[in-house]
Amino acid sequence: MKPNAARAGMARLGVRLALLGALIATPAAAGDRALLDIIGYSPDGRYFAFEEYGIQDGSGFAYSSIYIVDLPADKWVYASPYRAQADETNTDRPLADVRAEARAAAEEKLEPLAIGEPADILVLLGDGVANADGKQLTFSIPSWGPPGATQEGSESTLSLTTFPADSPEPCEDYIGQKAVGYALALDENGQTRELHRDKVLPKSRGCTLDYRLYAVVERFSGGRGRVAILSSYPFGFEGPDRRFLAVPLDR
Amino acid sequence: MRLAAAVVLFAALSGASASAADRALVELIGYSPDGRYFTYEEFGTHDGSGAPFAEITIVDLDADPDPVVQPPTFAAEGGEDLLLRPIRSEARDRAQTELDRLAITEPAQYVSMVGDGVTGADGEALRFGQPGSGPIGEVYDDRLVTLESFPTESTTGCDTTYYPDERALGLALNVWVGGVRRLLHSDPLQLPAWRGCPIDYRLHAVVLPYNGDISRAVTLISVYTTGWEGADRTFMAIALGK
Repeated sequence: MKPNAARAGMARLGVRLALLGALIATPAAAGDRALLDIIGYSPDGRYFAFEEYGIQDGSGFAYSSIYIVDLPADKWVYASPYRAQADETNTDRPLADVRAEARAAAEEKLEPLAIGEPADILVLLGDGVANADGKQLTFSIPSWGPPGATQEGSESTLSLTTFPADSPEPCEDYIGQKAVGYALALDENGQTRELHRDKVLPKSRGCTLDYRLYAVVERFSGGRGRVAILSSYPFGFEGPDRRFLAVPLDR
Repeated sequence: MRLAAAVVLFAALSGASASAADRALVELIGYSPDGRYFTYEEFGTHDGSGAPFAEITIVDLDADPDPVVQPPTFAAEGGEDLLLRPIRSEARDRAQTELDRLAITEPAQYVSMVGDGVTGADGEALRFGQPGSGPIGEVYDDRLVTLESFPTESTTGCDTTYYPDERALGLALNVWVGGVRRLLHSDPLQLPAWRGCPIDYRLHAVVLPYNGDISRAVTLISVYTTGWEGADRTFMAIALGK
């Protein structure tokens, strides 16, 4: 992430502990494991949209956030993310309603950008896979050959490393340690390319405790536009929350 | 019978009969609140004609299914000049009344998958469990699902024009829990007509409802049939939780 690209950074800020103080006041927001819905790409592959959604552990409030990423620029498009959430006035609001509200709001961008080209999941480390640390993922480009075939020589490997990182949040006060940042490298064609390295974490990332590689997707029509999806785990009072970050691979 | 694919609705939109080497993708639509019904969409573009297609399938996980029953289908004409997006929307519109009736509102989650870009996986075994709510990466109730295929007979016959040696395959599915094997499903020696002429299978993914109820686990299986430009891929679902 480029240090001067504040919005570029925000493209990866799937994590929203808006204010840790707010969480202290309402500890209900902890320990929820957001799920991911990949909305798709624009026809030219420039824009990629996904939704993270779930129910906050303590409050039981449903929430949904839709991110639209300008992949070449590695930043959110204007007005993204589109968020919806239940609140004290409507605590039992169903998740489906909240998701529909976020989707309806996001349509103001999804529609003009014609985001609807499906994403093909090249590799996905499901949350039900035991004993996986999520620090490395290897994937290839599918081929049209025999069932399960991939293109010869197209193998790539993503490697994720983490390290203590400065944060605008007083994480040492909150969690007794510095927040955790990440670096992501792509090894392919005999070369290793660093895609991202955190410096000071953006405020919206909160006091992140860890990261895991979650998936790699590409456009259904093929071509460039591969995106790595990372799980990030901000501190929560009932266990780490999980949010998602999107990192373009083909900038 | 443990084949849970008691399909109550199968909305299909196709510009042409499934022809050339199309590799369908799948999108999870969700479960009913009680976990009884699981719904997914498969979609893609036919290789030869370029015609888009989309199909929505609703599976009754509690049914005592009869795998020889052909899923009811709802088809509409498409064409190679149509785009995938509106065809998918049309399929969704056609299924919406049934989706509403069954209250398919609960999200589904992949808990394990063999992605299309995974090299070297044979698609015959997949570990899965229930995501934990404690430490990062915690998994409860680790299990293994395995798939075997064997020669069988196709009711519809196999197109031997380009694949003279192909023969229909059936599948058997086992789940291993704590080292104990449990047979979930084994195809009959003659496949029901709606299965066509499968020539290969691969485990694609294991899915759970949002609440992680492993008794509602479903495996999505890639089913390959002969096409003009290679093996076409579609999907079928089998419940793992019974």
